[in-house]
Amino acid sequence: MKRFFAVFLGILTAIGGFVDIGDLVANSQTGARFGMNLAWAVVLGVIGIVVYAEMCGRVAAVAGRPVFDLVRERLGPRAGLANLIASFFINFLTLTAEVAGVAIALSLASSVSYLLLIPFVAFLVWLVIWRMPFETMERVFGLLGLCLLVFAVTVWKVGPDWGGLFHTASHPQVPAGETGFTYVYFAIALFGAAMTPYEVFFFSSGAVEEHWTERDLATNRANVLIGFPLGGLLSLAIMASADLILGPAGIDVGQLSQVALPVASVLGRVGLAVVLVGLFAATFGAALETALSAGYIISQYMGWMWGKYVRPRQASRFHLVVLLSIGAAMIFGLTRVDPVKVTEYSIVLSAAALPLTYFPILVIANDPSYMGDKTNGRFLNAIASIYLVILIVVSIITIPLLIITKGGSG
Amino acid sequence: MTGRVLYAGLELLDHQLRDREGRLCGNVDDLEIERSPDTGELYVTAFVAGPGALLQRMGRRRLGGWIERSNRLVNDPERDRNLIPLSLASRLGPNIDLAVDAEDLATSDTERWVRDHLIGHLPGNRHRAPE
Amino acid sequence: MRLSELLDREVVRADGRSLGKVRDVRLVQDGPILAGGTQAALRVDAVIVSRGWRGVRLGYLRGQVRGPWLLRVTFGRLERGAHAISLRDLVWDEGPHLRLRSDEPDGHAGP
Repeated sequence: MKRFFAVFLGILTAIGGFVDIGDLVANSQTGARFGMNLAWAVVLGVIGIVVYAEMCGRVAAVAGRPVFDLVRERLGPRAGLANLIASFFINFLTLTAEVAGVAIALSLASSVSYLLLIPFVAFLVWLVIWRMPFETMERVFGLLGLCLLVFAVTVWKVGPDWGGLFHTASHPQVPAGETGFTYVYFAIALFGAAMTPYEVFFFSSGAVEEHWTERDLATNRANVLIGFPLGGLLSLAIMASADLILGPAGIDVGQLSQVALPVASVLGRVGLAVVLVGLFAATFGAALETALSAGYIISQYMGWMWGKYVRPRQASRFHLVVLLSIGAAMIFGLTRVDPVKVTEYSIVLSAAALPLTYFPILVIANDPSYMGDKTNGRFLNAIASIYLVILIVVSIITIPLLIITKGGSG
Repeated sequence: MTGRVLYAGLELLDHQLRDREGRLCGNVDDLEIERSPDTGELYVTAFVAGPGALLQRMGRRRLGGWIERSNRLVNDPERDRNLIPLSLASRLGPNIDLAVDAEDLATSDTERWVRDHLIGHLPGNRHRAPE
Repeated sequence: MRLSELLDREVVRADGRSLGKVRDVRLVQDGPILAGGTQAALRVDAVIVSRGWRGVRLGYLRGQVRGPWLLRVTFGRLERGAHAISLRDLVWDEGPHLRLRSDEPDGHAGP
């Protein structure tokens, strides 16, 4: 019974922790502009992250190795370094966006300018990483993130034409006013928001932090196979609420406050309060994860001791990298860079960089000298291979599309 | 051929080094090889890991060499600190297990500096976060 | 000297024709037990040479990694040209190349 409760809690944490600022922005913008015509991209992304995270979790539990550890080992130091630089840069963009997102959520609740709150948020993020135990961190912000279910409540309250919604989702087309280029661009954005690399760096390093063994594989699978798809449904709820409320009003999502607008307009002040808590939890949790990921990937490439499972002084370089990354993200945020734009770039570039980290994991997951008899089965390999091809195609077309659509404005 | 066959690039280079407690202490940046005066054969005599070693392997010999020499000046001018004799290896698996403490290796030099000058001054740096 | 000095070196025949570059190095643990330790000495036995790509590190050549099918086919093909040349068949002077001893044809000593 206790075990069931632990698994249940793990799934809830996975759902609440699934959505971050990238998903909030991408799903809202797409819902407002494309309705449900891009719902398939979310589904595609969710299946992708389920496959990817299952492999990473298994590799971490069986071989005890997190992703970036293996990147240098298998790709060599040169390719590994190029990989590290690209991943670190994109992760840094994401960290900046999340920190700004937290600040904006707090500013919406307090009417203090978000810029003034950024240093406070940066300090808070560092403090939580420094002092709060790993599992507690995940649980608290994961469960609080469930407040975002208020988007689903919003959709239900509006009482939409469900048949119509499903029809659009299953018969996607490019709506009037958009081009094929912006359509594919936003598909990539949704895909990148669902399959964010930091999620995987954090997930696999976290598995080592929590000392997973083969016995934890079942729990890992439950979290991933149940939690992530439900998180994807939550993303679709955000998309639907934007479709139903923002779309008809012609509101384009250019600010984070507009993401919360559907909830506020349908559920009033209570809804607004709940969604702000959810926004805070989702972005703060993601800020923790991206800050730690910055430390993880550099430490793992260099072979340094890393992790929260040892005393901070025993992983000094790791903690220094985390601290400096948060500081740099704070400074970048204070330059008044547009948080929504930074978010957009981070998710799109994340999508383009996916093959770099996906590829070595796919190879290792098939290597018996690391995995023993827990290598990929044929079915999983088939799906994983298809996704590798998808990721490579996405990687090639992303930058050209970014230029052609001028960052989505078409 | 008797004896275990290993492929240096696949199984040794860039693999994780761990000390006798299982602590992570660097990656194998390179391998030192010497010709035996008796048999004339080439043997791998040591792992190379530490400040500057990876840069030297990737072609930046001058910069890497400068970093390595600077580190030696600060820590131990007598010998090449980046060399870890092969005899210290207790296991050559996916991870290389060494029969020494991480503190005694060159790979801990920068860690020690950061700990003593920066992180060690932050309150709470000794505390294990309560599980 | 460092093992990395062997890697990426061009291997040429006596007549100057290139056989490819060194992609990996084969070691055999058949030396005497090292003083103070438990490991036998690691002898540098052969270099793995190929004309093509650097993917030898991935593990598909020696069949260590078996799947997925897509990668095994892609990299297996690329790594197929790789073969081992015993160090005894090579001359390593101060020059940039490893030279095959003149009486060896192509120095094949098995993959």
